[in-house]
Amino acid sequence: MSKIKNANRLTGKEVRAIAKQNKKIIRKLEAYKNRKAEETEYLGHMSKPENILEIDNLHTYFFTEQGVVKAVNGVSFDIPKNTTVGVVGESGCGKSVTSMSVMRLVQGPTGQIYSGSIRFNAKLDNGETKVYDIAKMPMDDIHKIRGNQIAMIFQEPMTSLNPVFTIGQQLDEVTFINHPEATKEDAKAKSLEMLDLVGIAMPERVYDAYPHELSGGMRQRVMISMALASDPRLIIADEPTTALDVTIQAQILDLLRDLKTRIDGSIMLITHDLGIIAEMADYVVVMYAGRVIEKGPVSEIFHNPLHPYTIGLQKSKPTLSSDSDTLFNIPGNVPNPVNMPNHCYFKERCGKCIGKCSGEYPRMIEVTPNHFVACHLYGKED
Amino acid sequence: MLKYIIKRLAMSVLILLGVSLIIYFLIRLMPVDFIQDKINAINQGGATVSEETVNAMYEMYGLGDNSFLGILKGYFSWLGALATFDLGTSFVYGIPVADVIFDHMGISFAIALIATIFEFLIAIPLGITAAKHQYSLRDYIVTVLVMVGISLPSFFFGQMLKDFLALKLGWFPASGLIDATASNSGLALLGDYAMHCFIPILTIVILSIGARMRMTRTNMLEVMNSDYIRTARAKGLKEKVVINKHAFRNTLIPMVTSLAGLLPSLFSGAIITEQVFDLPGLGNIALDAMNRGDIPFIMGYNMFLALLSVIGVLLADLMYGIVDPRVKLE
Repeated sequence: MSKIKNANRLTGKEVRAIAKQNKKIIRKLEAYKNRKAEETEYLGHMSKPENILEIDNLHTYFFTEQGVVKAVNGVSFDIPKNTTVGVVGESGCGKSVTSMSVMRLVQGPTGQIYSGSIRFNAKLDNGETKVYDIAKMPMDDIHKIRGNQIAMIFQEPMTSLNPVFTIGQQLDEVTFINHPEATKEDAKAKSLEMLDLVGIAMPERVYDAYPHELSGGMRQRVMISMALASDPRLIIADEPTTALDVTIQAQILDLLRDLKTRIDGSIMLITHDLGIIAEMADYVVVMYAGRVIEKGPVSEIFHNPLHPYTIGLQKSKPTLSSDSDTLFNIPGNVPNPVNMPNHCYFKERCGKCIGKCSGEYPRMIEVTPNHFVACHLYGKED
Repeated sequence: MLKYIIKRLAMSVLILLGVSLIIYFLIRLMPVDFIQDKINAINQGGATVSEETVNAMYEMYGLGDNSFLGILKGYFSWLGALATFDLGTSFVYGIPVADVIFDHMGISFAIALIATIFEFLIAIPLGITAAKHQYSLRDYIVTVLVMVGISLPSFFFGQMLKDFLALKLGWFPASGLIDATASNSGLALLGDYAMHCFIPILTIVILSIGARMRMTRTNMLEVMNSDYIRTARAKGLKEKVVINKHAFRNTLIPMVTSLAGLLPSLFSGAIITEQVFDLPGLGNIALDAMNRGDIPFIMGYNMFLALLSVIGVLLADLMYGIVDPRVKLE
């Protein structure tokens, strides 16, 4: 009898070796996360003053039993003030993990920010501005930015609200976090104002309702009002409309667009829907397998996509004008996240490969002002 | 709400009838014979009992006819007495069953209540820490210790504690409820009770922590991975508030179900532990009654527990409606 060798199956020895290694790294990273630190340790400088968030060479890894999954593998992009930056990519490309890293919500101990920095330009209550490096902040200090400076809207409105507390209790809480001196009446007034702002018809009634008594669209509105209640400078919307039907989607998007002007801040919009990006975003970041492969202004990305993956994504979008019976799809699958190759991750699926593609991973190249791409096709000859 | 409770109580009566029927038949089929034991005792004393006296005794105790119809008749006569709130007279003690139960219930209840309070006070925080630091050294230590606790049988562990704390070290009395050599009263008597009950309570607490701790840990882990906990964190709440308010309130929901089983166990007495420490609690008495075929007492005792179970389940359902707003009782 011959043994069938399965490349995806690990032997007991390998599993133990991985577990041992993971344990060592996790312990180190957890200790770093839970350390006590002076504020000066995580203060930084923005490379461009007009940015509100700068993600610089971020690595977020998951230390699993099968090996290290590099969910975010050297991601860099900026979010300027008063803009909407859309992050697109297929499932599992690391866009959600990037946003979770910014909020420091990556589920430990398996998930850890391994290296890189996330610089955030925080505006304190006294008007002073400080640049925090979120990736270096200890968990004890994270409340300085979480909730009050950066708020997040999640993709599952049905399960994102606590079932045993009323909407009012959950909304009031936000006011109490940011203004501990507020009275019960103040908090209620603020909550009702927020509910009204997001277009809820009967704020008083919703205030006393439990989450299960509301529809999905209503719950997402409540989530948005919760994010707004703290007057954040940056809202991260992680696929805010994925779980909703199309008409509600349009309403929620209108609401989000309206918001940006109202809070005078920025939005990081994560989605896999190119239509939403076209409608909402000023800048687009395209991610593939844990890396940014192309980024630039929305008009550039849509009218002049450079990376073969971006071009493929554009083509796979269904259009009314086309009379084809089948949708275009990019052949192949995303590579196994545990053992990423050294060359371009898209090589196996790419129709435009050149000899250089087998070489090392392509660097980011600025093709036109502000339009970057990581592809050998556009590399200068050297 | 009131309508719901009344409906449930009406249903409970039917359940209790079914329970009593089953228990009565089972007891009558049990291979113990109170009368035979009594006659044997008399015979050993040297006297002889005539056949007629034996038959008369069987008739007197209502155990004469062991056919199906005879048992059914016996059941209905028991039920008829119950309708007038009469549980019958205990064969062994010769006094009403209700009196026997109430005489011995106090001590069982006191031990169970104190043990349960400690069980909750220790197990829930342990479960929460274990969940919070899942797969850490702390989690493993707590888990292993409570697993040892679950695995030890009470007759063995109780005996060990007794041997060590009472016989070797002599810190506590080994058995019984009061010190027969001293005549205490007031506070001194209470202290004497406490000394006698210490090891039994310790035994029960150590053996019961495990299950509740595991339950808390599992519930907590499930809740901690849910989306609304992520939302609570994203709001900027301190981790302590996230766990003690948002997560704990949700772990209460499954914990409430386990309260249903708690009510009867508070009164039933710990049969084996009471046996080991020779405490005159309800559990001890019930085991004795079972061995001696004291049918009215066994019936009364079991019906008492059945009633408590039914009430416990009803209370748990009502509590559900309070802790989980998604549950509507009607």
